[in-house]
This record gives sequence, C-alpha cells and structure tokens, in this order.
Amino acid sequence: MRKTPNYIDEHVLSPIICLFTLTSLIGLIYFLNEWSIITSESEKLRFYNFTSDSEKQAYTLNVRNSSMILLLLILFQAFSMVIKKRWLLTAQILLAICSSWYIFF
Amino acid sequence: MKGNKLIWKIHSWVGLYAGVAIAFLSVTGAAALFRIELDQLFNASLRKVEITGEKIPLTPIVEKVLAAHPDKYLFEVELPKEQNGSWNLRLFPIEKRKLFPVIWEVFVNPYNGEILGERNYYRTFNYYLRNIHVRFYEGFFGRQIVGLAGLALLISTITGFLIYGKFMKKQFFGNIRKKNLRVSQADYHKLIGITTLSFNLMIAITGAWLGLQTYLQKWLAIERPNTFVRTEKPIEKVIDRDFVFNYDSVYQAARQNFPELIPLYLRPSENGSRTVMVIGDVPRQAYERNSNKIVFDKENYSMLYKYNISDDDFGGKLFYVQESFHFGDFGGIWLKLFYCFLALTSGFLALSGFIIYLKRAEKKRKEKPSFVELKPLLIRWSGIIIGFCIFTGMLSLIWGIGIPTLIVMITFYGFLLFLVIKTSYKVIKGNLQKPINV
Repeated sequence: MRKTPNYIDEHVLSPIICLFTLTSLIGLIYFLNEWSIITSESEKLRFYNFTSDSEKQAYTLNVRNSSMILLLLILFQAFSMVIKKRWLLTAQILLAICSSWYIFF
Repeated sequence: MKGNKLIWKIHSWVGLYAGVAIAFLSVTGAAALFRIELDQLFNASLRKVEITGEKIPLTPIVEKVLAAHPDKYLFEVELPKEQNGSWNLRLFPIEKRKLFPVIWEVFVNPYNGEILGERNYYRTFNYYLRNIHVRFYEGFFGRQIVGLAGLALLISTITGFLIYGKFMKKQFFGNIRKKNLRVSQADYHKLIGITTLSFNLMIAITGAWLGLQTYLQKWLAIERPNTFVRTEKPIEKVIDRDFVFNYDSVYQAARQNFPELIPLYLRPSENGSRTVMVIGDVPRQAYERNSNKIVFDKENYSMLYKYNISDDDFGGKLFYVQESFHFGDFGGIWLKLFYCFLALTSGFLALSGFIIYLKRAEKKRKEKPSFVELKPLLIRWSGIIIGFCIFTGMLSLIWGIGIPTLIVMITFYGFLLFLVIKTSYKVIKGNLQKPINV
C-alpha cells in the first residue's frame, strides 16, 4: 500500500486495535450470555425481578443494542487493520468512548 | 535508542525472573476459573437434589445439625441459586487447631431435610484450586508473592508493548518466520503478546491489586466499601455465637427489604454485635460475587445496614470489578472458557520468552560446565511445576491446609536460605582468592 500522509504504521495500529478488539469481544460474550438468559426463559431469569413486561423489554433492547454495537466495533476494528488509516483509528477511539458511554451509563 | 534498549532489558529480566511464577499462575488460574463448576461436577450427590414440592423451613435444620455437632458452631448457611441445589451449613470448631483448621460443611436436602454428606472444606479440590493459585500454599506472604508476580506481568506487558514496533521492523503483523526455533518462538511471542494485550493488562492490574490488597488498602486508607461494624456490642461473644433466631424470618426480611438481592449466604455474628448478615448477588451486575448485603438485628430482625454495589460511587464499583474481571466471573461459562484460553496464552508467553532467552544465550551457556540442553531443561521445569501441583494437591486432600502449607513454607524459605548461603560463600571465596596489592 502506498504510504499517504494519512497512513498509519501497522506497528502502532495493531497493538491498539488488538486492545480494542479483545475488550470488545469480552464485552460481547457478556452481553450474549445475558441475551441467552433472557430469551431462553432459563431458571436464572427468576432472579432478574422484572416488575413489568416493559421493564424486561427495555433491558432486552439494551442488551441487544449493546451486543450489536460491540459486534460492529469488532468488524470496524478488523476493517481498520486492513485499511490502516489514521482517521480510522481516531474514529475507532471516538466510537469506543461513545459505545462505552452507552453501554455503561 | 538507549531508551528502547533499557526497556528491552527490563522486559527480559522481569520475564526471566518472574516467568516461572507467571507460567505457574496462568496454568493454575485457568483451572481455578472452574473450581465451582468442578466441585458441582465431582460432588453432584452433595450439591444436587431432586425437586419434590415445597422447601422445608431452614431453622429446624440448623438446630438439628448443630445438635449433631456440639463441638462446632454455625459460621454461615450457603443457599443454592438453583432450585435443585442443596443447603450447605458451614460450621467452625469451637476449639480451633492452627495446624488442622476446619470449615465443616454439612449438605442438606432442602425438600426433606436429609443430610446428604459432610466434609472439611479445606480438604476439597475446590479449596486446593483456589489456594494454589491465590497463594502458592504459602501461609505468610503467599498472596503478596502472587501480587508481585502480577506486578511483574504488568511491567512485562507494558514494556513488551513499548518495544513491539521496534522489534517488528518491516515484518507484518501475524507473520511467523520458520527460520529456526528462536525466530519462530519470537514471532509467536510478539503475535500472542499483542493480541492478548488488554487481557494481560487487566489480569496483571487486578492480580496485583488482589494480591497486595491488604497492604494497598492500608497504605491508601481504602476501606472495603461494604464494611459494616455495629459499634455497640449488646451481648457477650459466647451468647452471640449461640444466639437462637429464626433463619427463615431473616431470609424473608431480606427478600422484603432488598428485593433485588439473591440471598446466597446467611452469616450470624459471633463478636457480640447480635447481627445476621445476608449476602448475595444482584442480577444484571458484573461485580464481585457475594458482595451485596443486608444486615439485621438477630433479636427483632430490624434492618441495620444495606449495601447495593449499584448504589455506590465509582470508587466502590471499581473496587468490586477487580475480582470478577480477574476470574471472568460475570459472563457465564462461555466467558470462563474464553478466559481459560487467554490465561493459557499468558503461560505460553512466559514459556516462549524463556525459550528465546535460552536460545539467544546458548553459545555462552555452552561454555559453562552446568550447561543443559533446551529440551531437558524445559522438561525439568515443567516436571517441577507439575510435581509441585500434584504433591501439594495430594497433601491438601489428605490433611487439609496446615501440613502442605508448612511443607511449602519450609521448602520455599529453606531454598531461599540455601541461595543466600551459596551466594555469600561464593562472594567470600572470590574475595579470599583475590591477590592482595600492597
């Protein structure tokens, strides 16, 4: 690939991307586990103490959205590794901050 | 340039001296992740029951078990999460023996009161897995030594991250050269090290914190966020220990006052405070297990204290993610399996680092009479680690915690003393052989 001014060295990019990807993957597994508990109506669900159907639906939606966001982040991270652009890494960091904000708060 | 060399030196020395401990901790950690699941698998007859109607009251069962063990008192009742789980009544001996400590577990069927079996917790495989990972079976400073190994992993990970780019030169990420063993191991070392960067950072930080927690909390004046101390002591210690109250009422009070809580432990006081703690988990939390709690007065079941991690500030939440993040105990069995795989890669990093060093220093090492080839050296070290695990495991299952701890301590400190004497002898001998310049 021709090194444009926007090009980012792979040796700088790959550690940061790997850091993001593995963290996103661990988060994704957590939310998939939550998703499986809610959708399978497993015994564990009785502890979730949903007071109404709407509360359960809201939580389900939150879990689904968080999983989708993390999945998209992982795909985006893989894309960044191929394209190797500085703006992509900046976007990546911004996205990770926004996603964390959505997931945690 | 100079800076890079220094970082590389730090990376090499830390890896070389703490590598064995890191490899050991990664293997034992991978196994310790499943200690609860393994305990349920190996002791299904104690842990699982058939669901037959409604559960019977707990209070008469506690009285029955205590009557059968007059030399012990109740430490806590462990309640099952699943409907088909058994009650586990954990007793402490009134007369404690230092070398042979006991937590006596009595498993009871909650549907008919049948006693399913009894055992000493310290002699279980579950406890062995925890203790070998958390403190190497070393009684005094084992936990702190593990904490220092966590710190070494942190230094190793950060320095590895900093020198990575320099060592890759024009090589692409993921490219493994098959030139020779040293080069291929170095490539695997870099690839796996960078891929698992966030995991190693997280394990190192949480591991160092958990290992050095006692001292760090003291130095930083951090109190455990869910600490509750009743300042007034309304009764004598012995009266408190034998205080009869209704466990079912306490359970109901906990459900009423803290509906989000899944009560998992009922722990009565024994220090004269006349309290009973109900400890458990709150669903949808990724924090340390058994850290939410509610405290009642044993006499009138009035609520004295309630702690929900979700209501705490950032500091409290940060405190309670350390253990759950370290043991992957927040995302079900799949996350644990993923953690297990990642933990083993940390061990691989230590091993590959060791191979790279030995291969690089082979020429120099060959000049020494004590030279050992790579393969037998690796077999020897693996043998020592496996042998140590089997030896302490057997002692632990036979005698509990006391004897293996004593043996490990004598061996460990004896070895340290031997090293000190050997080094001192060499230094003195070297000085005596030096010619005296007049």
